[in-house]
Formats: sequence, C-alpha cells, structure tokens
Amino acid sequence: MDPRTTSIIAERAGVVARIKRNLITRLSLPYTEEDLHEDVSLLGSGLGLDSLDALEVVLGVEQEFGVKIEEGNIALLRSINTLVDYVLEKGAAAAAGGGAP
Amino acid sequence: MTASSVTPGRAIAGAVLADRDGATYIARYGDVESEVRAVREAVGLMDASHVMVFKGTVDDALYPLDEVFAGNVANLRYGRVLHTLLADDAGQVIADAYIACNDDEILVLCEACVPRAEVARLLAGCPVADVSDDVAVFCLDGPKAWGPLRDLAGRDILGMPYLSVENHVLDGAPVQILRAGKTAEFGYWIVAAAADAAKVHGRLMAAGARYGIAPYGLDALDLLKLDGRFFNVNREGRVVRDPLPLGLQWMMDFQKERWSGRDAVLARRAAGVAHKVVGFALAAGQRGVRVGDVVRLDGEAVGEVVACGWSLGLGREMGLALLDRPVAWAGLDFVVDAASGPLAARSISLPPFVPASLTVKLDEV
Repeated sequence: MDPRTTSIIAERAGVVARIKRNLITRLSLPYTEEDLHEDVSLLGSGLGLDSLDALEVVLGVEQEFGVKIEEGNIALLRSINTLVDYVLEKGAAAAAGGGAP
Repeated sequence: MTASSVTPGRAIAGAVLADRDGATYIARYGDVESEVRAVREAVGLMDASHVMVFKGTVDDALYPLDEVFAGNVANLRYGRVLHTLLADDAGQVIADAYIACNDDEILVLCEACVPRAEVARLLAGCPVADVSDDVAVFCLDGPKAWGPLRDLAGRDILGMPYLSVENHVLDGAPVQILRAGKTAEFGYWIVAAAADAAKVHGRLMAAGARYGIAPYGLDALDLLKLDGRFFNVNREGRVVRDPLPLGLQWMMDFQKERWSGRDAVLARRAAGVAHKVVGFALAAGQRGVRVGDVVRLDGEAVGEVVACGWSLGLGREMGLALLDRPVAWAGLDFVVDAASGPLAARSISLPPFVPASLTVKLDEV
C-alpha cells in the first residue's frame, strides 16, 4: 500500500477509535467498537441519541481532542464519520496526543 | 402488495409502474431528480404500496415477534416505534422493518428483498395477520412534511417524537401516523384503510400544495436513501445480505437470546468482519459507475460497488462499495473500473450533506 494511504488510514483510524471508545463509555452503549459503523447516524435513526446524549457526545469530543463545537451545531452529529472529519479538519488529533491506538 | 392496490385514484396519470418480486409499485411520476428535489427542499408524498403490513395485538404478538425480529421488540413501549431488521435462518437480511406499538395493537411494516410469502413464512409463528391488501401506506417526507399534516390533523402532530405512533383523523378518515422515514428529512408514515386510500392521498396532496408538495416514487426513494445513508434492502441489501458489513448492528440486540438468524450472525461477529460498506463519490464530471464494478486502491482490487446513483446533495454520482476491512475508511482515493474506463472516486463520510430538516425547529413553525 502506498505510504500516503497508510498514513491517512492510521490518522483516521486513531480518531475513530477514540471517538467510539468515548461514545461507548459515556453513553454505556451495548456495542463493541467494531459494532459501530463509522457512518451510523448518531441522531434519529441509528443510535437514536436524545438531546442530553448529544450534549454528552459534544463534551466528550471537546475534552478528548481539545476542540470547541459550537452550541447548536448538531449537523456535526450526523454520524461518527462527520465528527471525525471535524476533528481532522481542526488538526486536533495530533495536537491532543492522537494517532493510531 | 398486489398490482390492484395501486389504485387509479392514487396512480396519478403518467406514473411509471414497475415490478419487483411479483409486486407492482410506482417507480416514478416523471423526472426522478425533480422528485428527489421536492423531498430535499419541500415535501414529497409516496404511495408505499410495496410495504408489507402485518397486524396483531400487543398481548398476543409482542413476545412472539421479539423471538423473530433482531431488535428488542419486547421492550417496545406504547406509542413507540422500533426500527429493526428481519433475517433468515442463515442470518441474511430479508427485511427492514418498523414495528409500532399503538394502544393495544401492534403494527409491522416491512420493506423486503424477498417475496411476501417468504416474510410470511418467517412470521408464521407470530399471531399477526397480513393486512397488506387491506391498508394503504403513504410516506410524507421533507423539511416541510409537517405542514400538510399540521393543517389536516392539528398542531399535536408537531409534538410527535421521532419513532412514535399516534391515531389521527384526516378529513374523516382514521389513520395511524408514524413519525419515521428513510430520507434523512422529516418523515411521517401514514397508514389508512385501503378504502380511504384515494381520499387520504388526495387530501394530503391538496393540503401540501402551499408547501410545494410533489408525488415521488421508489426510484427517487432509492436515491434519497443512498445519500441519506439509510439502508436500502432492495439495493445494497440484495448484494450484501450480511447485516454486519452493512453496518446494521444498531438494528440488532446482541443480548437477546432468540431471533431469526441470531446464531449465524453472532458466529460471523465473533470471527470478525472482513469487509465493510463505505460511501464514495466520483470526481466531478465523471459518470457511469455501475453495481459490480471493481474498486481499486493503489492498483490493487479491494472491493466492488454495491449501490450507486446521482446525489442531488453532492451534485455528482456516488455509491456504496463493499471494501476489504483494512481499507474501508473515508478520505481515500480509489479508482472504479467502469465499463467506460477508470473513474476517480474518493471514499466519503455519510451523509455527505446537511439535511434541510436539521435546521427546522418544529416548536417554532
């Protein structure tokens, strides 16, 4: 595999794993990390989080990656992947000591 | 669903009918992109005649259904709806289902990739009756889907939580309304007696006129599900039958002791999933991807296309690919081996756009 591809995967996989662990722990989800597809919807259909759960997710991501998620920006919670995109876009994964687990 | 249930009153002139597993349904009314646009920007109404409907009582059917469907039906509360799946003995998905607990009645609404007889066979041990020919199901979807229903049934409609069910009366016709949908926009499923179908359809269309309503068919729904990242049992579900690579774990309760296909699914889960379905978008201006096309990464074949179509939100062709697990991540550049030649594609996060309904506050409309 091309080294650049390997690098992209490693960076993303690291952020995904941390977000999934955060979700499972904070929300006591009855799933393993492998059970959670990265495109599963967090709101409505899918994990079906309510507004309190959503707040918990936002707090978890903010603390884990040192990023700020604007109040009311629920569009970021469309899926795990859209949250990951936000963290990577902010360049927060490495800054908060991220990387592959 | 039989051909006769697409009644003349509902099949608007110009509707194109199509067959699927021996059933007839409305594929489209005209331009599919216009139908998708209506749902994404205003409101669309679909005659969901393809949906199989079963009814029973809560007392008799709740626990038997719990032993067949993958989700936790037994924990379903009054007034709530469960979104789950039905698998065959081999743990292969055959239906995507809503199960609604409405007063003393339990309602099962299935979209299946097998003929009706196969679904009925799996439900044979459940005291539910197949009422598909006795009812009509309509789907009202879009950022303004609340409008026609509020005008016809009252403001209480606005307070319905997602995945809930209530009884209402639409211009004299009793209906059950489920707050549900598979387009990523606001959605309501309306179940009416077949005898009232044409009347209910007509009233909804008339009330929806001021909101820009348009009828839409299953071809548009396929595209709405694709970029809304809703599982489509009749697209990727016909290619990838295993719910694990499809990412449908959230529809299953792994703690339950019995459900159809459980042992097979749990065995595959314990062995580890080797493939995963991931979204991709073609580069701007590229077209021609087809189901079955091989997907390559750095020259190596790593998977195949399992669903595809035009995304209004992206303004380009997109699809779902079943990829080898190590490379099943968003943000990678792939090549799709299409019949017309290689196409540049990038794996993407889904849904790839912000649905308009996310910006609507129902308590302020």
